[in-house]
Amino acid sequence: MAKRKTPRREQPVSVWPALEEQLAAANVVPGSALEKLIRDNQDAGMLDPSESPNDIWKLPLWIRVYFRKQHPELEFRGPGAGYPVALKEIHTWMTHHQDLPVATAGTASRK
Amino acid sequence: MPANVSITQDTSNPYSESDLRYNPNNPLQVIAASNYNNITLPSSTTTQAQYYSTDGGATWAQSSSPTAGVSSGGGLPAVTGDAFQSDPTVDWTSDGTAWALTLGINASETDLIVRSFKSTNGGKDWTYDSDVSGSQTGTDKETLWVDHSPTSAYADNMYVIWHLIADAYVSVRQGPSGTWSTPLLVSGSGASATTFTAYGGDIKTNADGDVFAFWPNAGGQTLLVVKSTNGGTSFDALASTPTQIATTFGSFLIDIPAEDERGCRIYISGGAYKTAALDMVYACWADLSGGTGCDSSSDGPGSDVTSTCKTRIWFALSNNGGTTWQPAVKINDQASLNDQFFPRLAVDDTTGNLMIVYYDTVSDPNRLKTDVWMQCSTDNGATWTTAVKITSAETDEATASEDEGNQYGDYIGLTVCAGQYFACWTDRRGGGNEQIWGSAISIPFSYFIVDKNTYGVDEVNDSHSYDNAFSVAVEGASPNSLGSAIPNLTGPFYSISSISPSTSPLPFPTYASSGDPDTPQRILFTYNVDFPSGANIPPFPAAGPAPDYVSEQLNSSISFPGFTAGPLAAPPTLFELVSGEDPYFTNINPNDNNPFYLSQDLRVFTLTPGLAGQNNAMNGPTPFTPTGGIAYTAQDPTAAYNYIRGLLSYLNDPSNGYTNPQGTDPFTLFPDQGAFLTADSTVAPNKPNSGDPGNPWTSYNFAVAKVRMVGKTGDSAGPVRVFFRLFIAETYDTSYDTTNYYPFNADTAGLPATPKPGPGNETYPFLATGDYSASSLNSDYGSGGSGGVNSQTITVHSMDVGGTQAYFGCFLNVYDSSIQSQVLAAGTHQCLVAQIAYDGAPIENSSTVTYSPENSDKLAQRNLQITPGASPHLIPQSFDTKPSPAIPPGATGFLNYPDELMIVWGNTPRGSLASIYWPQVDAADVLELASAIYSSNTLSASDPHTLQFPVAGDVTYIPIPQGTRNFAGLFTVDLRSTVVRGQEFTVTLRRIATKRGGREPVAGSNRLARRSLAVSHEIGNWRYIAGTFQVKIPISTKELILRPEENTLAILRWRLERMPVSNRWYPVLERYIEIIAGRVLSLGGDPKLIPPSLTGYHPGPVHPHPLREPWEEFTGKVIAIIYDRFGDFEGFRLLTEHGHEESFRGREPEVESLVYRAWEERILITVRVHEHDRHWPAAIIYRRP
Repeated sequence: MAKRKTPRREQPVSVWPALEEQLAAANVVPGSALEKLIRDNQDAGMLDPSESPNDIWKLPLWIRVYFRKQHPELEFRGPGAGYPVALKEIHTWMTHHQDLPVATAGTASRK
Repeated sequence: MPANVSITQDTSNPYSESDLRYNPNNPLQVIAASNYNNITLPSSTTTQAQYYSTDGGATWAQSSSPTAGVSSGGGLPAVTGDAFQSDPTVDWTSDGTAWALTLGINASETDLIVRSFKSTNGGKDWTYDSDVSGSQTGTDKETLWVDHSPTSAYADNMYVIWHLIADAYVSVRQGPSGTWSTPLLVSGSGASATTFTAYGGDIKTNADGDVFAFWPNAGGQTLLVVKSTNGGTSFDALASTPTQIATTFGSFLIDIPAEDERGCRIYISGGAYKTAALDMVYACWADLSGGTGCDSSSDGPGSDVTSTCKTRIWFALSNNGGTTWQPAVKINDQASLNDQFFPRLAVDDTTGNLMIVYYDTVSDPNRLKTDVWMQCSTDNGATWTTAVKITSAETDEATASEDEGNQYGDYIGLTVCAGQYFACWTDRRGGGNEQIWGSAISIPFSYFIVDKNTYGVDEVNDSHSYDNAFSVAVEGASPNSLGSAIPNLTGPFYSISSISPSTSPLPFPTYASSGDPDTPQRILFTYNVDFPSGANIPPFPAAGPAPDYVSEQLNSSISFPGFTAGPLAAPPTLFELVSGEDPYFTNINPNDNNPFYLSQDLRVFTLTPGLAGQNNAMNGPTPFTPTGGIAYTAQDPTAAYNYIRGLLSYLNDPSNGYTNPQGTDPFTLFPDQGAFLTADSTVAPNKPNSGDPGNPWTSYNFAVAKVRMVGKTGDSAGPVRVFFRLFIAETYDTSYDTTNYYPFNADTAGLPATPKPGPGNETYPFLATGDYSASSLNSDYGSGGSGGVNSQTITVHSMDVGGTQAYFGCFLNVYDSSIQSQVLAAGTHQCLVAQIAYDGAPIENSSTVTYSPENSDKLAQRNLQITPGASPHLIPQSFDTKPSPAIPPGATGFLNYPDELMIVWGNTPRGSLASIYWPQVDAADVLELASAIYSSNTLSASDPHTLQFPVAGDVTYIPIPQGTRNFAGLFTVDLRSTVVRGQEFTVTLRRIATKRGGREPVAGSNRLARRSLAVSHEIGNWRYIAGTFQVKIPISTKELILRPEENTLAILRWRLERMPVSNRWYPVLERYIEIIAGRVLSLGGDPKLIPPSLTGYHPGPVHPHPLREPWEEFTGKVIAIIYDRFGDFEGFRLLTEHGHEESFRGREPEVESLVYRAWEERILITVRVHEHDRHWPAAIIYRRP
């Protein structure tokens, strides 16, 4: 009998807090853009098996998944996931700007 | 304490994580940047904070973002889409453009882009330049470096390294006019690719323009480097690409108690240094210390302060351009449970010296609070100095209120330019918001400070020993880093003399801040010089028709950790041996070891002819005889001049026996000589007349100098002239300056024939035949300086044995009204200097010696107390200071150093508070100078022209600023309240100057505007003691002090009435009078009853002042009680009923109790002060709770 292949990234469902816990931890304002973002980014299977709420990043599930979705071009070569350290500040900013505005002040970017 | 300076100016927001850089073409310009952490503000955009300095980092300003609607605290403009910015890095290009890079972060979309910004006005205003990271939007931790090497083929190339998850990228820009290249992957691919993260890279260049890109491979737990020799086009110059520097125990991040929220990241700080003989590459990083339980990525102390696992700073070097690396070492592996983190390395490209700064919790037994520490290496990384503490206060980021978990951020900054380093770090000393602080730092260096470096044959034969003749100074080392190391002295002068450590009055060694054993400071080793067998010829030169000099060199080096392979050497100094058989003074009695400024060969005595037995200095000469019918209570200068001439005639008559060196010393017969070796001579105007108290007996004061000459019968020298000059105030500036202090009318040889007053009467001549005038000069010195009572031909008489002694003198007519008003400035003490002017042995400053009474046998000094007074707790002492010389263009080494005031506190109680009032000086200028040249200092400004400093150690150093004319000054010491009657304290003030002339030391760069001393092994300039005066503070009873204080007040008020307001001494005299009046009041007198009087205060009001209420009252509540650094009560602040804050001072325990109760119980009080002394309460009245 052929062995069923284990999915390449499979995390026990119980590693990450429940959605409602995540929403509460972020002090989410109901109806905010942040709430929608959190709800839309719960795909724990996208993460490295070593990732957990208490790993070195101390970041919630949703922002890790969101970052990965935003940057499909990035290659995460394990062991571990090498997020930008600034992702922690991004998380802080998001929880304090829950409408997630895109800043309009300033000069246009030049490559 | 080190001169820490707050770089951040906005204290209402948190800042962390910083970088900074000197402009290598103008090190007065420094830029810095940090994260601005208030990203939780409702505003959708905040930007990176920028700072700039135009004075080498002494002071800082903070830029404001030019983008409308962007939160303040930031300096960079916003770029559309960026919610905030992070990860500051800065540098300069050679056109003077400042550059700052940051991560522009679109937080909503989690885009992170490396962006560059520039400033063309020194970092004040910034504009967006362009993006660096191409199309990448997941970047992090960028670092900028500009190739500043003038010998590099790629000078001005700009390099940036960052990581994109596990990849390290580099972009290059060919100077400010170029554009950023497409990002180049340098961390490899495939099997050699970095895993997990490449966070924490660095990029540096060497003199040839070789580029080294460093980064950690967190997944592989290795540190890697690649090299480019083509300006960053490719990084494949090493045989192995990448090359492994070392392995790490940890992986990426280690949690430690001091930064348990954010963690301590493993990142590399690199460096490179290349010469014709060296090709060095360096790397340092923080990692686990290794050993059992501390050597794997799962180890680490976490939040456990008792964990035996700790973090340490590791260092590795390559001596072949990065090809191979020596095993990594821990540069400071203490046995204690402490954590080191966030190292930053800088290499001085002018010397190759290295410095590393880092946080360390070692000072906190609880392992939570940090200080920034420094170690340096002067042997290309082979050895390191013991760590010294840079911060003057610790930081605690382990408390709950740190800013949103940012704590220290992720790194600190360090920059270097031609020997001067400057560090910046996250600091939370006040417990409020995190700020960025910084400090200038120096590699330790050493030099000589010479007090006496000229020795005459006759002088040495009279007196073999010279205490405290010179010192070796070590700057920038801490007492703990120096340990028990002492200088090793060598050289010809060491061989011909006996040199021994001096332990009095200063300890050996002397620490500028003995209470701070880990703080870099000036450490002084002072030595005595002895010639046990006298002035042997040779090495002393033989006598001849002209003065002959021999120079002998002395070397010093000191070996301590970090300076063992190559001990720290001082530039050599020279000592002059001078031939004899010229007229000379022997200022110091070898049996008594008196200070030079109380010369044994220059004496002052007083006659009060109205009193019995006080009309003659000794038996023999004609007594003081009044002129005509002039009473003994009136001034009779004619009689005084007659007397001194008669006395000198008597002393110079060989038949009386006083010209014989083996005969009786007439000075032992003079009155008032009991304390001539230990105290200033008192020159009083009168003595009490018990029969008529309102008309005291007039006193007359005289000076006599003894000039010696070695020789046999018939030997003669002449004309030998002696000039007597009184300095306008107490001063340590008595060096032989013929423009300001020792001007003269020349004889036909162009040498001094007669004295002249100095410009502005800085010095004033006194004579034996009359007050200063042309006719009196002619009488004293004869026509053309030949003949006259003070111009003699000295001859060895038949009855003289071994030589002869001749006497010269003057009447110190200091109580003449015109002298008092025109010559004597503020204060009660002056300096009297006698000068031997003999054409056969003129005083000539040489390239190695600047003469003064301290080191010349042709000058004798005696300090005088002319205005009678006492010195109670708050001793004021006026003194004169010459400004520091102007710095010549392109000056290096000591020529780029100001002169300094060195205060030796002796037995003055520690915890006393001293001040210097210099009305012609901005205190801020002095503080800036102190920050520039001292590793640490305790100076502060109590008002714009007053410096204040505690008596904290054995010595205090104060730099003297430049100026166009002398600074009138008032020195005060406020003693601790614990002093008791009978005690006496001695404070010595000395001036340290640079010997100017002679070869320049070999210097690294002459571009550095901040003071830095190049270490050189060529004989060059050195430091020397230019002059000294001493202040004695006797503690006595109110009853004994009051009358002398009243006398002083009367005389000083008289002078002030006649002094033009424009006189530079006027504000000093005003403040002096204010202090004395306050003292009179506190001693139970009434200063308003003391009228101005040239001759002092006599009982009974002469000019009763209109009575008016002398008090002021302030009613309010105590809002603050002030304690000094020793925990002693210092004063309090009162919030008045009118809403004003008033500050008052106090020392007494009883006052402290009253104030404390008023503060604790919120009692409404009234503080009553006298108009003369508004800061010291005369009464405290309790009103109601």
